Amino acid sequence: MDEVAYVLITDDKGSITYVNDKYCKLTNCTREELTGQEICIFKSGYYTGEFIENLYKEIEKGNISKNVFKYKTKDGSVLWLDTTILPLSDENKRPERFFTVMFDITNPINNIELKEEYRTELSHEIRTPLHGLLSMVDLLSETGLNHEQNDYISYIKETSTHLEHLINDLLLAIKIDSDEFQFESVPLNINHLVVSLVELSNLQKSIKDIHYLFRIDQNIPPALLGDPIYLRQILVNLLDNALKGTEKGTVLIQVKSVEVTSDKQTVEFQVSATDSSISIDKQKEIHERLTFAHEKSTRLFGESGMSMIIVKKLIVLQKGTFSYEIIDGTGYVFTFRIPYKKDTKINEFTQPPTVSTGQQLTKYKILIAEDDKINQLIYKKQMLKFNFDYKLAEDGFKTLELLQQESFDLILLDMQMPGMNGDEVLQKIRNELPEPTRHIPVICVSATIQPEIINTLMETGADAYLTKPYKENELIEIIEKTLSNVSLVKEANQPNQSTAVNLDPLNQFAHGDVDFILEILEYFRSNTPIELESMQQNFKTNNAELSGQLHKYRSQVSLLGLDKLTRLTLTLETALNETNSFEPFQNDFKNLLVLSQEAIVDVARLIIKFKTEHTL
Amino acid sequence: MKILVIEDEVMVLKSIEFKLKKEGFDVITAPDGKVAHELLSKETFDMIITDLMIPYYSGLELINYVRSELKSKVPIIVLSAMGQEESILEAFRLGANDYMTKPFIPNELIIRIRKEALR
Repeated sequence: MDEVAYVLITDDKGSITYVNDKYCKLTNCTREELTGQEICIFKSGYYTGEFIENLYKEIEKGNISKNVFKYKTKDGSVLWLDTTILPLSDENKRPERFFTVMFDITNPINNIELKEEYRTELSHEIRTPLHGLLSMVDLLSETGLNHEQNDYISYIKETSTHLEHLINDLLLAIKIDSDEFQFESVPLNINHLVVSLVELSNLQKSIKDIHYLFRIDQNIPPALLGDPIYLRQILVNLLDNALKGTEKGTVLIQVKSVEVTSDKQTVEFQVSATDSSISIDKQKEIHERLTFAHEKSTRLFGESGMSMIIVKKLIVLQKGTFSYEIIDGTGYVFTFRIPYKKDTKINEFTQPPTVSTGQQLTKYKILIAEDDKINQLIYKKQMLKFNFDYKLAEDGFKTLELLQQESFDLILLDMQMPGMNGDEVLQKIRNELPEPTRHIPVICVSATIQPEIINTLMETGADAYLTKPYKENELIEIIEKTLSNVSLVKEANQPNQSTAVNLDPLNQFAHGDVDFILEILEYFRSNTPIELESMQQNFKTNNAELSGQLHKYRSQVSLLGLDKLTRLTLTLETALNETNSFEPFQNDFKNLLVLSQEAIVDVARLIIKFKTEHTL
Repeated sequence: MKILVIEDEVMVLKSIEFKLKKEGFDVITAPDGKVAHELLSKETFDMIITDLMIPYYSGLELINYVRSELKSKVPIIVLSAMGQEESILEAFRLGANDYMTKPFIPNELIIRIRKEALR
């Protein structure tokens, strides 16, 4: 042990009685000089008197002490010493001597920092060629290949996309495990985030016959403080898994506010996948897989166990909880909760999107369940005035019948109807109707103002509650609010999708040449994630480099008419040029990332739009 | 007319290239100062359009190279970003003929190119 460790013995007063040669070398003193002295690490100045006193108290009780101490040698180099102090007791069980062994673990600690640097480099180095590969395969597939070659190419595409996912997961897993990993606490608009995510997934799900639904509790404030990037990551992984496991069925995301305290708000997210096409054989198989999932606790649906490990880590590290449940062998529900801080000041960039009355709403079709003739007339007038498409049902049976025959965007459900009460109708809608109709937004209308009744209705699954008598604008407001928070996202063909991207500036170059516009959009879509990643790595570490990147990025976003993003980029670029600190810009930078993600979604949507219109 | 366009931002470079080709110009592009330097040393151009902030050689260094070493009088139009006023002055001192601030109106660039070509 003398060769590898510093060994010393002290008496009950803490004075050195024995040291080995290695320790003499460490302190650069002779054995004689050291005898009677205190252990060097306690004199290093890194530790308070109180800390040392507590340590002595412990070892004097006869307990072994294990610690890693920082120590500065006379030549100024810093060492990390893994130190064990072993009390040796006399016959009265009182410690009379202390045996101390210290191992130098400095190098491994420095290595951790090296690893971090390596990771950053690695991430960029791996992604760049992979991105090149994917782009080339895309180009190659458009060069008029024969049938056999097309098959091979699609296999390459599939495999390399899978590889890309694995690498991203792996890099992320390493990042999460690193010491310096931490979550941001910036304004977070959950509504916005979920909507943009579902839109993106809608684009990706391609040929599968899947209904995509989401439902967001209106009680969640538009701005909480939390980490948008990693919330997004969790949901993306869960959605990916849900999509991989489902051929025909429904994927539903529900967001609820659960616990509210004066400064905290816990939000519950639920991702459920049900597959309606599953055969009995398949059910068995899935059941086996899920049982396996329970045992291994890393696999749910999907191929990549890694992505579920990441999800779980990200939730637990944010002090959240999760659980999952199998539904009748046809699907599952994954539920997680994350406590977020409440935001006291709302930032410009996190304002929720507002739905304007009138034009935007014209496309919605509303089912009105109301037995009273006069009320029916009033509804008719209001529906005409606000240009809704509507249908009337005079009782609960008719309501359920119509729901199964036609598709609606919303129901206004009166609670007191003959034959079947409103709450019964609501229960049947939520439990007995087929997917996806059972998730239709429901606004309950009643003269009751008893909180218990309203609570029961909300628990049964009502999205909103309107008390009679109400004013006309109250009705419209609640319809707008419900439609914007709880939206049935149909295939990617919603008209009038307001998009932040404005192609006018680009079109001044392109003069309506769709191929060219597509080329630029494709470039932005595929390249921007890599650039953002690199900017993120430079943030806090390399302001000069980041400022240069922002400079280039600004040209891109201004070409796409992203005015808010252009302004924000300019602000950051100028600010970083003038100062070395980054703290004040943390929020702005996060906003930049969030806005950029949204821009990528917009661009992806435009690409699809152009491609479909172009080939028509 | 053969125009060399030097710009490191790919989207901007592609857009300018597209626009100029549509206008009937012969366009050669360089994504950084090194490529541009090599092209300039081998070929002659009727016009140079260059960004100022580019990797390897800056726009200013390239202007200096064209004027002092190549002794060429080829018209040079500088593309600059907001906040680079001092660099623009320096570009003029070194011999640039005109400048445009990004983001610019593409048609205006065409007008300036034609104006420079007439001189």
